[in-house]
Amino acid sequence: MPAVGRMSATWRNSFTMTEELHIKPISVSECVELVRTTLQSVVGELTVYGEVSELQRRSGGSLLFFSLKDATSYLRCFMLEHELKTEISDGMEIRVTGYPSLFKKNSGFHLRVKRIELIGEGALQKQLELTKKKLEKEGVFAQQRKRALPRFPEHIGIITSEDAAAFTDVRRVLSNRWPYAVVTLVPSQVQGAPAIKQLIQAFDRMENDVQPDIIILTRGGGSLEDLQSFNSEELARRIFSTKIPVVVGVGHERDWTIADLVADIRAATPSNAAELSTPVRDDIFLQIEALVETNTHVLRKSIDAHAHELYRSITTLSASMKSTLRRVEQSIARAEIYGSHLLDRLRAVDEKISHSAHLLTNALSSHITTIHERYKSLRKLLMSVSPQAVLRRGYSITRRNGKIIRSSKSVREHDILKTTLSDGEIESEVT
Amino acid sequence: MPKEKKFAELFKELEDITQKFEDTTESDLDTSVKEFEHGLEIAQELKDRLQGIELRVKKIQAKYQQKNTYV
Repeated sequence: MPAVGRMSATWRNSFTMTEELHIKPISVSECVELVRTTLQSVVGELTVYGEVSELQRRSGGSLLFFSLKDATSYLRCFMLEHELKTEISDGMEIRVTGYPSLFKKNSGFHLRVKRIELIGEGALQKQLELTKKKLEKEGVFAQQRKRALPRFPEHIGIITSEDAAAFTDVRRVLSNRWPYAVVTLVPSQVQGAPAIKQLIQAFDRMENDVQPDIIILTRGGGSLEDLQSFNSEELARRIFSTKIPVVVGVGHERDWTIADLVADIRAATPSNAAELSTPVRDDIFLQIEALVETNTHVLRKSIDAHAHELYRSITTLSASMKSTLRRVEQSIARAEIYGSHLLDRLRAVDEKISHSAHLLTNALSSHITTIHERYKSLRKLLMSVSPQAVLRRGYSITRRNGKIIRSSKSVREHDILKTTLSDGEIESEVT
Repeated sequence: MPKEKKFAELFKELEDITQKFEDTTESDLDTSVKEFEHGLEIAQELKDRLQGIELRVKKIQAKYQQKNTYV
């Protein structure tokens, strides 16, 4: 039958084709690899949404396995832990992007996930709680690591979107309160896909190049989805590692973000962030005046105390001078009286001395006269007994060689004799 | 030229002088007057710095390293 024959031919043809395709048998691993690459090239990248279930971490937490499910199906998913940028848990609604693949070992079909996004407020809220819990456990929000802000910031760095109302608010408040500071804006998107990366880059720029005294990270309020970048773990860690104090001010007071919790200072709004970062210029003027006033007061008191001390000293000195003067006057008066007595006594002594001197002079002079008289009579007596006087009466003295000749027998012929007379000498030779 | 002292440093100096004035029983009037005059100079310098200034804002791009200044 032609129909059968046709069918048969078709079957045969297809059989022949298969036979031809698999003409060369392949190994199991080659088979798995062939199917895997075919899947990837034919199906390509997929974005799949569903609920997370059977979340498991293996190999010390570096490999992540989970399933995505909906009402009727499960889809096995696999990814590396370091690729996970948001915390996930069972029951969360997520959107995953990846490509279909097979495990080499058991050819298990799965989706090799590269990226995860959270969908729905519930998932975001849950993720936020998870991130908060994790970071809290690590001490990222610890009060003791929070640093005080400088009192007088001279350079303030702002990270926000340039066009945002938040920036205008911050600028206005800074301008009113503390225009002394220089403000450097490093613009960054604050929501949307590139926001996290840009915010982190902005922190790098602040820390490495701008180096302000304070960094203000701010944006307006928004939905949980809008605030996702401010709730990211990556940004939280970047804020945590920043060496410059960070003030975070997001939207309205009812919003809180992970960035708020990790900040050194959490502000309720962008304006509040500017307020908490700066003093008020007018207050500082007043403080300066008050300090000067205190100094003036203290100095005036000190001067008054010195003046009082001086006055007291002068009074004391003057009193002491007066009393000294009085004592001197009294002494002088006493001395005058005593002096006149002394003078009288001196006069008496003087008279006595004069009298005594007179007596003494008289006594001496009569004594001298007596002595003189006595001398004159003695001299007369002496004159009368002297050899000269005897010679004058006609006697002479004969000497030989200076020796007096007392006998004629003591001379010999040719002796030279010297004879002294009252008026001269005669030399003669004995014959 | 030595680096200009920061506002915070000057303010602290003024506060320290005041604190010393309040605490001390220093009876040397010459020293006190010198300190007082120094305090006045600092106060004037601080007031001068704060007076008549307007906020200066610079913009720096994180990515392209562009630098613009506007007020």
